[in-house]
Amino acid sequence: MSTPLLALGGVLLAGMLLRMPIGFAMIASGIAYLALKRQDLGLAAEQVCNGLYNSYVLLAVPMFVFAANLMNAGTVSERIFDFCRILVGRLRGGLAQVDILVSVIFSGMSGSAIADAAGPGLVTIRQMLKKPEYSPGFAGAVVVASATLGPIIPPSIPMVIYALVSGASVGALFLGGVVPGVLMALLMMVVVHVIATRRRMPREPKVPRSEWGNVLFRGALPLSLPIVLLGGIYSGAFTPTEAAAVAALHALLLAGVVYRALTWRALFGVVLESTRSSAVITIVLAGSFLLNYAFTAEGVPQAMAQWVDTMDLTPVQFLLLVNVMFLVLGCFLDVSVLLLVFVPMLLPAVKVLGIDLVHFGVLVVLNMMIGLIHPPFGMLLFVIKALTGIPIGAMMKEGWPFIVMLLLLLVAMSIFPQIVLWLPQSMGYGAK
Amino acid sequence: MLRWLRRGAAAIGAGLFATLFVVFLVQITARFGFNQPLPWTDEAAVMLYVWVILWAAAFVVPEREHVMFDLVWNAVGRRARAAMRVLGHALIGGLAAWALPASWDYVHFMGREGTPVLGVSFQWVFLPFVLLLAALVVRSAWGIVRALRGQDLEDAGLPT
Repeated sequence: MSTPLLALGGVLLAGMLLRMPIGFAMIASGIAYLALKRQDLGLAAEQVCNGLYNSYVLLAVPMFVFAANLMNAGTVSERIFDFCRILVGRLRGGLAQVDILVSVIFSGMSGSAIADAAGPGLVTIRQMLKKPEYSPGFAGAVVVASATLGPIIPPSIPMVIYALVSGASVGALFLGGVVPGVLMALLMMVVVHVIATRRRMPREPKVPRSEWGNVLFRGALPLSLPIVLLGGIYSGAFTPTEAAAVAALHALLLAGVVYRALTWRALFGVVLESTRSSAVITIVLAGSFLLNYAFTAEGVPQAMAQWVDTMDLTPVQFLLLVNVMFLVLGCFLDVSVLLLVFVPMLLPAVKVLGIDLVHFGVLVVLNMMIGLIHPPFGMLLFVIKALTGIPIGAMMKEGWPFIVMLLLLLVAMSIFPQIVLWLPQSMGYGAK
Repeated sequence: MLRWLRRGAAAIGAGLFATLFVVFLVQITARFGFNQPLPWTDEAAVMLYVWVILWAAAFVVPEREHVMFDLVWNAVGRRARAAMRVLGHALIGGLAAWALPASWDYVHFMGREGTPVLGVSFQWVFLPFVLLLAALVVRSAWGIVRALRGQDLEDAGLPT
């Protein structure tokens, strides 16, 4: 390894251990690299500015963030909750089942797991905590697990970022997440059913038939969006970026006009909050432009590809190895860093082995979601702890069946690419 | 005074974000409503995006909201934390200061070129990166002062 590359790694590691913001530490480490390489430090400005300026698809990120925040401020989650209570509330452990179904619907409009946990997740957690049969740990675990559906079921912010990094099609990635997302939701419902039956958890009271019409109508409105989004992106009518803006407009109309749950003041708060979270996500990305410039200049991805080549792995062995690496690295690094720094290093190897980029992308996103729910970096655990005070240990104790289930699904998806690729291919992806 | 600056910066950030949203709505309406795609909207959106992100990162987002690794921080006492903040800020602020002149040179140099449709000088499009580096220098210096005074050493509030 060259001295400039060592300096880069050293500054990055020091910045992280000293608890500096990771995006800024990445930019600083890139500057250190350029300085030791005796290159023009203005390259830092060039890489970051041009990187942002030329990544049109990334504009979808702030718009999806905006859409999710609008829905959370506009009581959209509450309406979906009432809707789902009619559908699955009569099962044993009804509230936990409702939570999973709410997440499925919310995921069809939002692409962020954090927004899912903080919005609809919080709504159901509050309901569960009112009933002694649901332990706080179990309530937290269900919400954290179901929040991982957010970026798997389209739309998806991590998939947009992966598309930028890899050049894969956003539309095909979104379609590739549908079947795995539905499988995840079904498996979670099975896990909840087994636990709920064993612990004799309560069913929800019946909703009188006379109220059904209204509740179902209001709850079904948000459901129209995923169809418009996917149809629009895949038929080529909208770019993914425009689709994200349409999603935000849809959420704004629902919250402001249909449900009348949004004041001007609240709207300003939502805009400001969206500005801040978009910046938080994107500044890590901006830093990664610099890091990846350095890695490419040093030939790191090619070296990785050669190394993988010498190991003579089959594609399946390679994917399983990547999964293990994600699990291990996920204990030290935030998942966004893994996506932006680690995945670009792997991509040449992926291409050498002939693995489909959409298949790999959906696996990467599922790996990231697992990273969000296991300590020490499980951001979703932190969010729920911060919002409800449920201790992380209690959630972990109840959460392991969900993690085991997700890991099994991950292995199955690594071995059988058709789970991911069947839907996009039947819609024409990869046809020559 | 500081509070007003902060509010002003937040209002500018939110205003840029809202404008970005409106530009998209104009683009979509023109394309689907009137079947007449506008040439300038993509470019305006990207420019606003560069500004929103870098401006907000520099002046709007509080440090504790950023993605950070806090295992070490949570495991050590106040003295070690003060040392961590001084070292960390010196590292980030120092490197940002080092790159500041060359970055300004680059951005200024880009002023000779304009964006293809609107003809906005790239100096203005890329200016917020220089502002971000300058903000990092000032914030780091201020962070060191506060750490030496024993401030900001509590357990961090986690991002919500």
